[in-house]
Amino acid sequence: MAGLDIENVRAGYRGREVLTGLSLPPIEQGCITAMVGPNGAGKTTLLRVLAGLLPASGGVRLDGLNLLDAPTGERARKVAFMPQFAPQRLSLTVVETVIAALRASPMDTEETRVDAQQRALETLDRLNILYLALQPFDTLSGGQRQLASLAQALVRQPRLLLLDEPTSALDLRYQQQVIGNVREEARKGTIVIMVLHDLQAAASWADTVTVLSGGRLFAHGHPRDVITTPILRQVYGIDAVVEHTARGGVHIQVE
Amino acid sequence: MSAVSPHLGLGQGDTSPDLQAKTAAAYRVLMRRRFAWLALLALVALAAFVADLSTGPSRLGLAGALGGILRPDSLTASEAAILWEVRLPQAILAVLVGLALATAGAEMQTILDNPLASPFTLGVSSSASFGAALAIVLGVGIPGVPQAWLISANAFVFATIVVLVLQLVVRWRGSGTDILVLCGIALFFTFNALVALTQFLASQQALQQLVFWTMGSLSRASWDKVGVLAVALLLAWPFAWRAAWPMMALRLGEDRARSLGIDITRLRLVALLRVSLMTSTAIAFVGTIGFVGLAGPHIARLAIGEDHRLLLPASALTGAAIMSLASVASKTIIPGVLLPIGVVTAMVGLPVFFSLIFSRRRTV
Repeated sequence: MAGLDIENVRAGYRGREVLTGLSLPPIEQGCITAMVGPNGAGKTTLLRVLAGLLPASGGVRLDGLNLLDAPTGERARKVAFMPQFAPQRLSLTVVETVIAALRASPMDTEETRVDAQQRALETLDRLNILYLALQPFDTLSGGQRQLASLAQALVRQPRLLLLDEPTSALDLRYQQQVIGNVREEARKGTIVIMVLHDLQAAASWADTVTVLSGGRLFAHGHPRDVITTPILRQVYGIDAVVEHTARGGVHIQVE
Repeated sequence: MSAVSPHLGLGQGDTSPDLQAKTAAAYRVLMRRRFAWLALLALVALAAFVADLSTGPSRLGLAGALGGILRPDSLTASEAAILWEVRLPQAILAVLVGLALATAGAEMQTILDNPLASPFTLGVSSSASFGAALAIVLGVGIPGVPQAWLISANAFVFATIVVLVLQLVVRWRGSGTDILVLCGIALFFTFNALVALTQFLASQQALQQLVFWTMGSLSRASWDKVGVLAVALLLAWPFAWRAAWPMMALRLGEDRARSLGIDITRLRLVALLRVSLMTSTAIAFVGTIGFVGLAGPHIARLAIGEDHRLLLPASALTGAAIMSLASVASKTIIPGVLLPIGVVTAMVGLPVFFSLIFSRRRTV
């Protein structure tokens, strides 16, 4: 029961179907899955379906609960989404944005009301950005914004954490910090799905890599088995030399 | 994760409860400072109200006005009439109009994610003007409405129609703000053109009355109007207050807000309804008064930040203060002449507003 099952999901935008009956092998709890594939493959569309931002048909079961027809509050309680872009103009302080993410939803209960501030501070602390707590959000650097945005997602202690390009536009230091926090979350049993364009990052950070192409599953498995010369050729149409390193990284040299 | 080197400028990962307690204490200080600002705004609004109450063409000054309220028999019959039938209803209406327009402006700026939005952005005021124009120039109004309320009722009905049209747009095309703003601008120009057309057709006397109406004036104040606007505010405010957290979440971005389980289409629609109720009731009674709905929330935001629980009351108080001060100015700039308050809010308010924007420092 525990885990995420995605079966025959169809979804799209204004009459254009992007996901054409997508099914994935079951995703276990505590697993970090990187969603890769060419532009238009349906990665972000799938993420939006899982986050409840896009209607879909088919079955998405999280710990047995069908997310596609679950009440909004029930879904919001279990799923947290970190969008690719953070708002530009926002003078709320960082801690207030995190409290707002906790308080402003149908799951706002007496319990969250009482200790929202404490939970927000703990989350910022966990992400090593407690020192940013009282800064206005729009004075943060790009990397700090991503971390604050991650805090807004993590404070809800989700079962399923969805990240859309969480490390885009981040320097190495922030990339490591974000991914370290995501790993810690996964160790607690959270299922993490992140959309990534950087295959080398996907290989070194994820337990499982899912390759989408044309709205369908193309390959799914350990990075070593999925990020290979033949698959890159078929999916991206490029010839590349792929070298997996002993420490789980990958080096891709496009010919 | 591994600790990050301190020389990189990040925290060392010293997840000490100490640091959390310190941050919590600093946050409490910040909140106390904001509450102090709120208290200051309330004092300014109160002082402005008292000043408004004590100003006028007659000789009833501060002591007389306040004494007259506490001991009604201390005034002569004519003084009592001035205080109770002119000064008080006008001063209270000014406060309520300020509260309504600035609250509506704060909500509008949030739901449209646009600091330039005001209650008038979406054509609400121009449609109200057209409603008023129909009543003034052509005598067209809602059957059964007494003559004294004809202009107000028309203005209210037309402002509400515009908001209903915008609601349909939101339902039809989703909650995107771009389309909403574009439709609002289209409505703004349409109704302005229609007002111009009625002006073209109007008699000399009606034209004068219409121009006076569109400039905004508190001289039409009465206790009935004070009562109706107070009821509108009492209806809208609790819901605005309850929506404070979802509105803050909306500021985190539409996708984020929706993923939190917030129905943002509904949130926007209901906020738009509140905005229309407050704005159209205010405009219906005092005519078009610009600037307050734009500047009130801005000044409040500069002082106390974007926390809606504080921004709403701070905007309202700022709006009330601006209206009361404008009312004082309208009575005193040219002695013996009562200037239209809509003109005064713009003329007096604009330099203040500009100086605030250009001297803006991020303190909150």
